Amino acid sequence: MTTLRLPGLIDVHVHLREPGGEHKETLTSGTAAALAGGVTMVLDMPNTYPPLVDAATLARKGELVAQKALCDVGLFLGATATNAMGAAALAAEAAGLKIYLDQTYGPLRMRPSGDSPGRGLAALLTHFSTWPAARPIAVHAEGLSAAMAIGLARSFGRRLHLCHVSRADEIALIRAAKASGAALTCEVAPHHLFLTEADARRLGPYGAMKPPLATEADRTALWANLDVVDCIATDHAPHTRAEKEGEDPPPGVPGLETMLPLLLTAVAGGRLTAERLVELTHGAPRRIFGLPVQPDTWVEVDPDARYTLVAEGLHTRCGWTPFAGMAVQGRVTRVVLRGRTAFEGGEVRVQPGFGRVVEPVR
Amino acid sequence: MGNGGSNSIKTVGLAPKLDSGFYGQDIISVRQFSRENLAYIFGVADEMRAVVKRVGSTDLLKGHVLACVFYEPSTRTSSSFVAAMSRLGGSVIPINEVRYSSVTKGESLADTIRTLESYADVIVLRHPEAGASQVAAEYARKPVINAGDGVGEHPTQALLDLYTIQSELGQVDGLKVAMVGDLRYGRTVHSLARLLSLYDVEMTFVSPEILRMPLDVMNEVKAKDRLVHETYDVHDVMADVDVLYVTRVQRERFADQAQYDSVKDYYVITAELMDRAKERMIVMHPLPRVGEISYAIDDDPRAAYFRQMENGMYIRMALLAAVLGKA
Repeated sequence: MTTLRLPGLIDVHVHLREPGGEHKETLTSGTAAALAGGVTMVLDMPNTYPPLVDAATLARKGELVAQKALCDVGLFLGATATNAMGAAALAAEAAGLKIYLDQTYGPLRMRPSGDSPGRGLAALLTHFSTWPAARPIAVHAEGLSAAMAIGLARSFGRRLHLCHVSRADEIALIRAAKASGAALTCEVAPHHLFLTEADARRLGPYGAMKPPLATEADRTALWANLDVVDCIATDHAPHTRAEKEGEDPPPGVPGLETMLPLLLTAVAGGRLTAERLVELTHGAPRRIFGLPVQPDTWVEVDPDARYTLVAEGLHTRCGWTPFAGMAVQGRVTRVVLRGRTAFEGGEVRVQPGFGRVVEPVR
Repeated sequence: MGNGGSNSIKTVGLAPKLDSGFYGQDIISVRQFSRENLAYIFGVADEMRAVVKRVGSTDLLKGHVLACVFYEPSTRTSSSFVAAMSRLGGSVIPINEVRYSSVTKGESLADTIRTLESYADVIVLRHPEAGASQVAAEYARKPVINAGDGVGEHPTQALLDLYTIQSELGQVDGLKVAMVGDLRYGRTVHSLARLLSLYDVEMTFVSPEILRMPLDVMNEVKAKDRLVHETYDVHDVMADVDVLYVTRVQRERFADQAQYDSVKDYYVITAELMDRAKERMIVMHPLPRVGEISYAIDDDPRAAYFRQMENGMYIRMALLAAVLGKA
């Protein structure tokens, strides 16, 4: 039997839902899902309840991580219309600044919808000019918003990271911007690499997220342009089955446990090399966000194990996956984090609080 | 696939765990080190630090003997090796002020080494002539560790410097490192620059014109595709430097006092200068310092030079244990 040993994966875009959404996921269940997926470090998004936007909410979240996390967690600071100065003062402790330029789940949208495009620009200008230039600004920006964000970042010399790029036109924009020298990085989510709008029709609300699943042409374009993609990040966004089957299902799908098996399947199929996989899920995330090395940390996988992804046995509290039924090749057998076996035999082996808050090292 | 009995491990993107790759090896030059074995030694040094902090010492090298042969005095280095061996439970034969004859140097060094290795398991050698450690290593059957040979190398200093950078800042890749002072005659900065070029590091060399980093070191660094800058004024680097490595600019290197006076302030680290620096950065110095770092910044948490010295003991413990096959 061959064992493939990789560095611990770093997922730079997750929603662990705590505080305020513990019925969907907690820091403990979410980091359990991470370990099960070979992920040893996650960067958690700020659209919690209350949102993470100042020193008090940052400190409180840090305490929760220290008590409840099983793997290491970095924290994004959310941009609001009024917190630019305060946010900049916290930059050394945060994974980055997160700006929501389009509507998604949560309270943090920066750009008012509809008619007047001029409103909201002032707040964005303040953030782009005050946030330290050495630290990244991550944006949820789809389509035209992405072009706007790139323009803002270039005007102020800021490092922009575009979240969950999903479409051919966005990838073309990124290629052009990078070619012209922009300090731009981007991430793609596994669901946009492996599912399309056809799957969205099949899955109904369980296939709904922001940005939504796109066309087969978009999916093909993402694979064809993987060279301009910096990292793969899940945008792990769990909601309960009841919520997904309710009146107004919120957008979002879990992804922490399924990312590595899906990518290993791509390696087995020759679409990706193992080296590129490591770069997309470890090397680039570390460099972009200035994250520390976790010493004595690695993931062991059985690259030949073939099985089907199912909802049973998942560690995410929401208990389902949009990839249920997919045949994959590659199973996580063991995760070692800071010298301790944190996951083995399908089970978490460390206690809540083993995970630590991660701060950037530069 | 394949037979059920065998188990092979393929590693991608990770340093493979080395099993005593250092056993019986001489430690003569930084050129022996790759990122993988650096990671290994630093891991052992971390363990040594944990042991010392927790229980003070271990019996890992009990019954082993170190011959510490210093042809020229260096209290700092020799006491660091003696402390390292003691904390590992081993004993030391200190041999200082060995009589040194330039006429018969090769022969007497070899005889000295051969004599010592009949009593000792490992030899640490400090000698005023470049290349002496290489000679000693050729004659010796036991491991020889170079504690500094003239203008040649001082590998354990470079290792503790790099270890300090990693311990303080978490990683080495992506850092901006500035080396300040006498870069022409500074043995420590030559070795450190060579080690740093193994990583994705941007280096700035800050020195007076007459004390610039020698071309061969610059070329070695550039050959690894690393970004290198030069400037004459430390003010230029303060705003975004991650590691400020300071060395002394001696008045004796200059033709006259006036020339020295005209440039000396560009290489002194003051509290005012530190106000310009990032919150998360470190100031290092191989010590002793004579005024190029103001005493006022000793309590600044970014002043890492005393922690750097402490790291020297952990690195030397790691090397001793590794070359004797105990780590």
